[in-house]
Amino acid sequence: MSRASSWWLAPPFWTFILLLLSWQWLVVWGQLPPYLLPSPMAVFKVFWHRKDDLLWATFNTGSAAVMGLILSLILGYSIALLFSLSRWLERGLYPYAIFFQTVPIVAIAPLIILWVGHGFVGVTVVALILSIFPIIASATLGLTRVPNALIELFTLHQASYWKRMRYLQIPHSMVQVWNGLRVSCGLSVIGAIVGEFSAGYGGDSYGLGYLILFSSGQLKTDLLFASILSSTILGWGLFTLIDRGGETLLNHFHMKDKRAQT
Amino acid sequence: MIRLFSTILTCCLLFGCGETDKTAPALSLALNWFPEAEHGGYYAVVIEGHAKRAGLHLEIQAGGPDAPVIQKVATGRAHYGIANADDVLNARVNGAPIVAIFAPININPRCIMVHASSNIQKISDIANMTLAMSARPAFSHWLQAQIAFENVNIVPYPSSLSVFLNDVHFAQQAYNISEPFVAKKMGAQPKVLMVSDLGFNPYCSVLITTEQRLKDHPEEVKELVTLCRKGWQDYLSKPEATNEHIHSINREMPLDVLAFGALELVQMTKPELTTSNFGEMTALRWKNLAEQMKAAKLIDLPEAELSKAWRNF
Repeated sequence: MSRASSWWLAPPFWTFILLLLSWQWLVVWGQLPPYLLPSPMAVFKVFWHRKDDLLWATFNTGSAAVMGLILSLILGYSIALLFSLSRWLERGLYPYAIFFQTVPIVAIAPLIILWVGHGFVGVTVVALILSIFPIIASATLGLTRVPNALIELFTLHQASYWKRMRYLQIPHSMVQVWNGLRVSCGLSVIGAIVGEFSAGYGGDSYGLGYLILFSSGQLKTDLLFASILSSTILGWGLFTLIDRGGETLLNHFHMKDKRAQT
Repeated sequence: MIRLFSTILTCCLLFGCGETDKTAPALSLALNWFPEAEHGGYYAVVIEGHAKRAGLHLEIQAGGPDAPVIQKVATGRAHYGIANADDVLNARVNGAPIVAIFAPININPRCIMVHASSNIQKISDIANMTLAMSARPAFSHWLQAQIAFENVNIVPYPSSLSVFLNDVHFAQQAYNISEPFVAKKMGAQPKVLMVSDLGFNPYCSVLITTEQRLKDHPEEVKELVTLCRKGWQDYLSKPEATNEHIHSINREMPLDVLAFGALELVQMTKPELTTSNFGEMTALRWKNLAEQMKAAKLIDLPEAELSKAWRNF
């Protein structure tokens, strides 16, 4: 067990260290002024001094991202179920699902504010819009592209539509949905931050989007990088949670990683 | 060798490779926003032929919401730029050797726009409503440090008028030379509350360059300031030709909005200075701004650094 956990921790850790070293080297040897690129040391300093602000902002952004992702999963999977009902429905509606993938969110943000208002709900809606498409796409694929042999087996046993759904299609879609979630979780963090740019919170509650706007406007590049790093950590944490959680669940459903068996 | 390599690598990373044309005779001027009335006088330098007569080729680069003017000027990618005085002080405090050399507009156009029906007379009256202000500029932090807004939800600036037009309990930041006119055209009755009335009045649309440029080309800087002075005086008295040009390169800016802006600017460049000292800055106003930004907990600029931030020509 301990070997397994150190196996997935070590490579990212060393990449991180290497990245930091080259970054520091670049700034020191290239004599880059702080308004162009702050040194990692400067970023860590601001990280430490403003840890409360950054934690609070990360918490706010994270809450909206997680909520957006959960809604994406529920709504996206429901839409995929609808698509799996008939090919006609899928063909008729799929192009419109791509809307979520391509909509310039900044342009419709003012409309979102008009419809749902500022604050948590508005930010969550933007996170939802940005993160739903991979889930629709992957769940539709998982629900509809089932191996022929299995379908024939179910037909042979005269399984009803619901039985086929319950025991074949839905379990079969799980790996795909999991993969869709892994793509979507990063998008939901980006969505929450972009949402905060325009639909953000009022008063004392602010997210990483606010810190990013503020620090870039005031040329505080160290705080800007600390905010970006916080959002990266948030995205990474969310990804790890989904990655590990999904793996445990799938193992439970007897869909083991083939590489682990050899 | 290593150093050379890292510098090249960094330059490529930050600016994209292949832009090394620093010997071009054209002088570049980077704007901080899409071309609009607040840049009128600078365009007039070209349109009214002042630059040509002086043998200068001035190339004006349009900006936008995230235009990195300070960075462009500080790294020499643009010789000159347009910024607000608070940006200049932010630049100084972060080690960018930027100097303000000409400030045509006396009254900062920054305002808060409310609906006339709200009966709000001054900014400190704003209560029980939503106020949209960007976290980027200094004024929003200064206002929040100065005024204890009562039950006011401060939200991000939506960069459009749609929310304002639909909600009478909504106030938003604006430039008095632009948005109020558009809001009126859309059927609203906006009331303009100037931030400068509260004493926060940084120079805006300031011409900036670097310490290096001042040192290497003092004559050029002096000449350009003289030309800008002429350009601005032309723009304030006969803005039509320049506005036509601005409209031709920024179709989103209608001629009537530009005409309104130019007219408002006549008031905002007052008290009228003589031809020779139009656009000159005072130590007192720079000092005021530094103190106000300190009070808003934005920067703490040493006196010596402040005196290097601007110079009159």
